[in-house]
Amino acid sequence: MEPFAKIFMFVSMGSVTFLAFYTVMRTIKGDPPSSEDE
Amino acid sequence: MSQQPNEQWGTRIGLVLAMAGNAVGLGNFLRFPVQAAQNGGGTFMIPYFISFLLLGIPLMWIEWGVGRHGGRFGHHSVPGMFDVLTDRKKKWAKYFGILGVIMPLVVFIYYTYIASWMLGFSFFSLTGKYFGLGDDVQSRAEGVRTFLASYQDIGDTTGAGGFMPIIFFAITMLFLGWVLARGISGGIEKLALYGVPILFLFAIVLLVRILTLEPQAASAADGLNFIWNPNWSELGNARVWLAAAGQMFFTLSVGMGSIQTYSSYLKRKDDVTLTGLSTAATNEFAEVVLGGTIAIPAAVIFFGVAGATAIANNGSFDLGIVAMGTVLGEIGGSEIWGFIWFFLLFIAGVTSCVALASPTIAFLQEEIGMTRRNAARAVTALGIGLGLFHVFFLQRGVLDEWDYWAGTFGLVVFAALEVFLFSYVFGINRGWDELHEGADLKIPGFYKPVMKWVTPSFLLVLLTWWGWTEAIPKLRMEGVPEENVPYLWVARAIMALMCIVGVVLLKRSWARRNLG
Repeated sequence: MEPFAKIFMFVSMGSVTFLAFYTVMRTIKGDPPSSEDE
Repeated sequence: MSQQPNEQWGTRIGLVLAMAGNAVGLGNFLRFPVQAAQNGGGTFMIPYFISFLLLGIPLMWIEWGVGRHGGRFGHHSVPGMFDVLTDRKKKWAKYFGILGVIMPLVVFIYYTYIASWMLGFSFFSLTGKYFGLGDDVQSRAEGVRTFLASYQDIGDTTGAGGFMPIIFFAITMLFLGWVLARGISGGIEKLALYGVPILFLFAIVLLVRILTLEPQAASAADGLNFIWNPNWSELGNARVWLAAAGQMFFTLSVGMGSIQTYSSYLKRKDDVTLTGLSTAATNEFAEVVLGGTIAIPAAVIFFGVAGATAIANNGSFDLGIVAMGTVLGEIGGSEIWGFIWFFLLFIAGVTSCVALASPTIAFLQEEIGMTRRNAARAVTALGIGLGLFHVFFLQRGVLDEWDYWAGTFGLVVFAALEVFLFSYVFGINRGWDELHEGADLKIPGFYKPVMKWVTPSFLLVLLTWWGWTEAIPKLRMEGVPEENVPYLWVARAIMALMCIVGVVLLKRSWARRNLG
């Protein structure tokens, strides 16, 4: 692979993987959807 | 307002997976790699990520906020949500909101038909029906193409055999009807809890298999290079930027009405900022990491870069069905690998389909007073009835016509209207406060001006460009074969009739309840 292609691929994939795992884990650890009636 | 029993999400992970299932669709695995390859490879990722930050994420948050806000007033479909965004002062808003019911219904109908092809090809993979239809790779690819054309041509018994598309379409539609009738937590959430992890598992297993294939015409690294190698001259090309912005709509399923309906089942203090971002990020993982590493590298390995370029230029289905069908027929355990590929596409399709049908079901419950079960039955019956129009007249271009107006251009029109209502009529300050009710994530402050100025400007540029270069020629049916013109007019008439019926039902319902 071309050096630039490698950089783009790893930066892009790394960024979205980190964002996905970080936000999903934080979401799961949060409170469940509340069940109180409005 | 609604007389229906309150429905709600059972678990937070269920909600995230259902929203991710809505966003992750065929576009992630088929459209994204084709767009990247056609628009400068690695260079495409620069406007793509900028569009994600300035268009995709703000729209995602706005739609989550609009939905939860509407749900607080008992509205689970867009007309009522738009009405409360104007504090019930602008009577026209709810009529524009009907777009958020009819467009997803239109897309639901033809998208279900496309998803049913994937179910069909899962079955044909297990029976080995389309493998080995030639003496070499090129002729076998031609064999798969002929098989697909035969499958799509009702009555042609040379390939899959006659009426198989109708059978798979009916099975898919009835399955969706069954899921939808079981409600939010009992049907949609359960489908997501099982379906989305299976989808990701299948995609990861397939990705590993593709990347470990022996080089043939080229290697897997050449395939990745084909997608990611930047062509800097393309960075100044407006077409590349607009392609990247357009991909945001397809991949995140924004501008549709389904995100709003899903989030309307949240309570006032349920978070929308972190959860909205996590579904957008999950979708991006599925698209950039998984979608970008399966189909194009597989095609490059067996057809070389030049062959893969030709395949990519022929469109998503040539890549997803013809090229992938051929490639998976070349490796050991073809039946299983073919099944894994097409069944993962089927799951991606049906999890999106249930979201697309949800606004109409909510509308029928809310405005007609139907029970969820009856609303699901009505949507299923309508889906089968109108879907057969596509099944029988696919070759006439009716599916492409619906796809353009409801599934492409309509998304931008609807999103532009929604952002205008949220940022200017409801007010960006109120909107900002609304998004932060019960928020687990503080949205960075610069997103406030982005939502007010940048996102609407982005949408207006997109709308103008697409309107000028595509919508007007499409409206005039330029380049359409003469014999197809009557069919396209019928396709347009059906969409127009659906909008008229929606508006009439809405007007009567609101007049009956003295809501104006």
